[in-house]
Amino acid sequence: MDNEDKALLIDSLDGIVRDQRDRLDEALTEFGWRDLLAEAQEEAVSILLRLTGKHLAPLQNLDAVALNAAGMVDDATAVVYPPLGSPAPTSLIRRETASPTAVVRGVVFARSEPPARIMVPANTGNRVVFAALPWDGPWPDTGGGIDPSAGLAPLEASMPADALRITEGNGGTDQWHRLRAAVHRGLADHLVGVGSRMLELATNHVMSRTQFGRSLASFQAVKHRLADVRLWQEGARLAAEAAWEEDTDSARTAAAILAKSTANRFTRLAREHCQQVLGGMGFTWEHDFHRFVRRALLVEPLLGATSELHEMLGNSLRAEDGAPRLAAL
Amino acid sequence: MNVPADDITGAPAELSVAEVRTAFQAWLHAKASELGEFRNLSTDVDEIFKSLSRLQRLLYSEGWIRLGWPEEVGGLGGPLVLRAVISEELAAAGYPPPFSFGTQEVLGPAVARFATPELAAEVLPRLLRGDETWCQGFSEPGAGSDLAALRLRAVDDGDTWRLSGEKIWTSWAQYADRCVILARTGSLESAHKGITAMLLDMDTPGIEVRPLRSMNGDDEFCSLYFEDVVVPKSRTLGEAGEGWAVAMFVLSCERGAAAWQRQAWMRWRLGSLAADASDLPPHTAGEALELIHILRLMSRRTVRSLSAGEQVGAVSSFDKLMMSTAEKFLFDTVLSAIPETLLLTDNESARDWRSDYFYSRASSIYGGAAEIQRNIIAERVLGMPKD
Ligand SMILES: Cc1cc2nc3c(=O)[nH]c(=O)nc-3n(C[C@H](O)[C@H](O)[C@H](O)COP(=O)(O)OP(=O)(O)OC[C@H]3O[C@@H](n4cnc5c(N)ncnc54)[C@H](O)[C@@H]3O)c2cc1C
Repeated sequence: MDNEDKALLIDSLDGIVRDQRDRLDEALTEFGWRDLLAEAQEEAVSILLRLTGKHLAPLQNLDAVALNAAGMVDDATAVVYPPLGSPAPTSLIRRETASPTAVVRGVVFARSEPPARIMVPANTGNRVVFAALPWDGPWPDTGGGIDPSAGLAPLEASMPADALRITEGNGGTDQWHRLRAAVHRGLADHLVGVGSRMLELATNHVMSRTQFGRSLASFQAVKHRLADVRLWQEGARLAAEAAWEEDTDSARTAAAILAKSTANRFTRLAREHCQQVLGGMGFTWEHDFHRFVRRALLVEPLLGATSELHEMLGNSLRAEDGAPRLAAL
Repeated sequence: MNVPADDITGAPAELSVAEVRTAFQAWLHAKASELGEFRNLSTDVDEIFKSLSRLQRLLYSEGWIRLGWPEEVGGLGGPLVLRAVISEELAAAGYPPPFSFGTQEVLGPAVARFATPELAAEVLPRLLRGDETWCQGFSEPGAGSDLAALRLRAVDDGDTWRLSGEKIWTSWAQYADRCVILARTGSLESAHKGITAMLLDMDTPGIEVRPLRSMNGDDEFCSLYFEDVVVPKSRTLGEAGEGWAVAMFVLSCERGAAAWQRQAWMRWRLGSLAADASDLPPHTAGEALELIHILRLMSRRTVRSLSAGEQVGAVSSFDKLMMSTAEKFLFDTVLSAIPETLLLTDNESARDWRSDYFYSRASSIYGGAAEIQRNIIAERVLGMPKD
């Protein structure tokens, strides 16, 4: 896709995400985003997720992104992500007994109709498998918690696992890693969208407000806070972009973790410094700032908070062949 | 394509980045025992300088560090990124950069761009070959962060400039053959508009060099005193009065291209730390890896821009600020992971950690302090007013 096509795409998707958030899925399907996802994964994911961050639109489309990366495109399937904070599955499949059971624990996206199936990364014995289970229980139809607009809700269920379809062994782990990398990349872009709006709100505020007879933006303490946020915005953008350039699975996994951890750092700094320079105004319900804070707080720990992601990176240093070399010249 | 190492001087222009990388890796591998002495450098500065020039001559004669430099100045042609490939592979294999951090990537490009073609063709090959070292005479006692306040005076004597005044913090000036120096040719009030850059021979009469010991114990930098030092006008870099552009170009190379070498080195240092400290906390190591990765992405972009001949501008302030953030974090990590080694041991490896730790403290000062980079980002990138 050349730059001109890309600019056009950003423009059209921006309009859709801004104006049709209540029927985003349908609107995106009409637009042809699903086909784009199959043909040009990078543009489809990075552009859409950045825009849903910018406009604080629902994040439901992450399921399509995840399933597409795992090679399973299917609207009737919902993904069960690990609980907030965890980069690894906590669901369990018990197969020792005559009637195997699944203990499903994680977070999911709300749907108006319950899904027909769930895809669950789960532990069985000491391995990660990727399990498809038929679903016939109730399903959250709205998001909850600090930012219902994201559409995210917790899910806990125990169920028989006879009708289980399972991807075992390395296949299961590989599929899960590919899915996780895709989600990390998508969330990194989403956070870049969220953080960039926080920085924009803060910059506009300090440029237009006067205290002590001068612009707030002329105080160095204010400038340096926002310069730090801007530094990490730059880092997060570059890392999100670079997460698409690797061509082996292990490099892609590592680059995606780096994209997510860097984006986490960007929004954490933006939450802190932008709030401070917004003063009392940023603490009001009217000001949009808190909406972005809510979204960032919710998404930062999704599929691994910063410390867990750092731990995974650190462990890769000790892996047999060392951390993969990324971002070749 | 597999390029035999001895073919490198033949047809570099046709080689891709990946081919150069593979060929150089193979060469390093084949020569590992011969190159062994350069992996364990003496801690004596004079010895270090001698071995580094030997390494540099070897790399020059084999062609590797002539890649990416124009033929007119002793190079083999090809894009500038090839230089970054060579420096990265050297660092990844545990070799020090074969030239002092401040020289080849920081000052070389400015002389290539701003010197007369005759001067560039005369002096650059000697720099590349390792026959000479150069230093950077910018800072003065009264002009650090506020570089445009510099006072070292250059009087116009017709065909020559006559220099009087002082420089300070000039790294490795005691070993240097030449100096890229900034002098005041306009009035003091003319600030950055009245500055001229030139290439000075350090053996010109009238220069006194007094080494200053830095906190890590090295005679890292010097004070320079100038009394009626005569410099031919043919040594002017750029136009008279246009030295600020030269200075800014040097700083963009220092903040960008040199940051690329630095990240490759830090990545190697983090690997050595993981080997030395079995209980290095993984989340801390991971954070260091993250910071180095971001520095890599930032400096890669700058190296690519420089290679394409584009203006770098304020973007290199990101590189410099990220570099000091990463470097200080890395050596804070070293301090907490191997305190006994860093603080109480006296073997060579411990002395290296100690010296690197101290040097990391300077990373937020030299090349434009962190506060100055933040000012630039706030004012030139975010558009906030000057205070
Ligand atoms: C290891 C090392 C090697 C060096 N090598 C060279 C060399 O080879 N050649 C050369 O020319 N120079 C060299 N320098 C000098 C270096 O460029 C200067 O130290 C640097 O520019 C800072 O100047 P200064 O030391 O005078 O500090 P000052 O400018 O006095 O600054 C002191 C502190 O005040 C802060 N400050 C200054 N102005 C502002 C402001 N407007 N807003 C907020 N804070 C401010 C600074 O950020 C800094 O923290 C070297 C320095 C070091 C440490």
